[in-house]
Amino acid sequence: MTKKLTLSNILLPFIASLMMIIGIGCNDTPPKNNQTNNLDEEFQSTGGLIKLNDRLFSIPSPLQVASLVKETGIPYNKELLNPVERTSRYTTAFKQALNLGVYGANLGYLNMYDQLPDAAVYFGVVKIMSKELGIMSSIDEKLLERFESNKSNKDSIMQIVSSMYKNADAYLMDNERNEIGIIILTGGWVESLYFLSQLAQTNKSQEIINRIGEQKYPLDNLIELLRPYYGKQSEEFDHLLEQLVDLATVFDGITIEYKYVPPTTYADKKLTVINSTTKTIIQDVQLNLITEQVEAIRNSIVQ
Amino acid sequence: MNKTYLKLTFFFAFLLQSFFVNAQEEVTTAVCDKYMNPPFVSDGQQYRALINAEEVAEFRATFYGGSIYRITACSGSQEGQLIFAIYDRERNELFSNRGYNNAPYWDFKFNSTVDCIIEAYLAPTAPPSGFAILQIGFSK
Repeated sequence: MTKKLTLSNILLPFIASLMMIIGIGCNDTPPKNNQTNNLDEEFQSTGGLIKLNDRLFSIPSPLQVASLVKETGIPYNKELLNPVERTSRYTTAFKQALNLGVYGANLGYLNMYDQLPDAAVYFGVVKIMSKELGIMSSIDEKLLERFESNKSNKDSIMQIVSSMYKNADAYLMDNERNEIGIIILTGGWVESLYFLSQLAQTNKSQEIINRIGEQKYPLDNLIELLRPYYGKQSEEFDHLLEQLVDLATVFDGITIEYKYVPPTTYADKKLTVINSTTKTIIQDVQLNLITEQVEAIRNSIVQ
Repeated sequence: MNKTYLKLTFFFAFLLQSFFVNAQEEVTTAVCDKYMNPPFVSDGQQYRALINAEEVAEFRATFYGGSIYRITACSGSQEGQLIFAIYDRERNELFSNRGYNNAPYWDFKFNSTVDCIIEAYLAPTAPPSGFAILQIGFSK
C-alpha cells in the first residue's frame, strides 16, 4: 500500500522535529550524552580532553617560514620554486592537494621577495588547483576579486592567501575531507623545509640551520596528523608517511635544550613576552642527511 | 504511517540540527575574525571543537623566536566565554586569559622558539556547551 505525502504529512514531522531542536536549545542544563552523540562522533572526545576538530597539532605556516627566510637577508632564488608548467602532471586528488600546499609556499616566498608578477601567476595556479579539488567556495571567489584589486600590495596578498587557505581548511573539515586539508598542510611544510635546507647548503646561515632544527616537533606533529589515515588512502599516501617517519629518525638526533624563564605580561598592551630560551644543536652530518631526505621527498611530491 | 512520521521527524531534526550547528559556528568564527586583522596574518588553520562545560580542548603548536603572534579565542556570540592557557612542554603556564577578563585575544612575543600546549575551556558564565574556536596569527 502506498502512502501519499500530503502537506500535513510533511509538516507534522517537521514541526515535531523543530520542537525537539528548540527544546534542546532552550534547555539550560548541561546536555545529556545521548543528545550530543552525533556531534561527539564528529568531534572526537577522549575523557575530558578533546581534539580541536580531530587535530591535536598545528603546523607552522609556510607563509611565515618565507618571511623568516627573507629576514635573514638571503637573496631571492627562483630555482627553488616548483614550475607552474608541472600542474598538468597532478591528476590525482592526493597529488593536487600536496602541490596546492607546495604552490602556496611558493606564493608566500614570491610575495615576500616582491616578485608580484610571478606571484599573480602562482595565485592563478592555486585557484585552478583549488577548483579541481572542489574546495573553491563562494567566499573564495570574493577573495579572488580582492586579489585582482590588490595585486601590487604585498601585505594584502599575504592576508588574502592566508584567508584562502583558512577557508579551504574549514571547508574541508565541514565536508569531512579532513585528510585533504592535512595533505595540503604536508605539501606546504615539506616545501618550506626544502627551501630552508637548500638555502642552508648554499649560505651556511646559522639562523636558517636553527630554523631547520626547530622543525623537529612540527614534524612529529605532522606525522601524528597523517598517521590515522595510514593504510586507508593510497600507496602513495603510505609511502609519503613512511618517508616522513624516516626523516623523523634523523631529527630525533637533534638536541633541543629548553630553559624556562618566567614570562612578562603587559596587560595594557594585551601582550606577553615569552622569555624562555631554546638552544638547537644540529650536527653537519644531520643537516646533510636532512637535506638529502627532504630533497627526495620533495621530488616525489612535485614530479 | 507511524514509521514514516518517525523517519521524517528524524530527517528534519538532523537537517535542523546541522543548520543550527553551522549557524553557531559561523557566528563564533565572525567574533574571532574581528581580532585577526593586520599586521597579523592567520596561519591558515582553524582550530575548533564543540565542547561541554567539563571538557578541555588542547593542541600543540610551535612558535618561532623573534616573532609576534596573536591568539584569538571565542565561543558563542559574545566575547569572554572561552578561557585559554598556554603552557610549555614542561607544563609551566606561560599565560592564561582568565586573569584578564577572559580577553578574546592576546599577543605573544617569543624571544626564542618554544613548543607549546594550548588549552581552552568554557568560562563558568558561558552556556553549558558551545563551539570553541581558536586562531593563530603571526606578524612579521
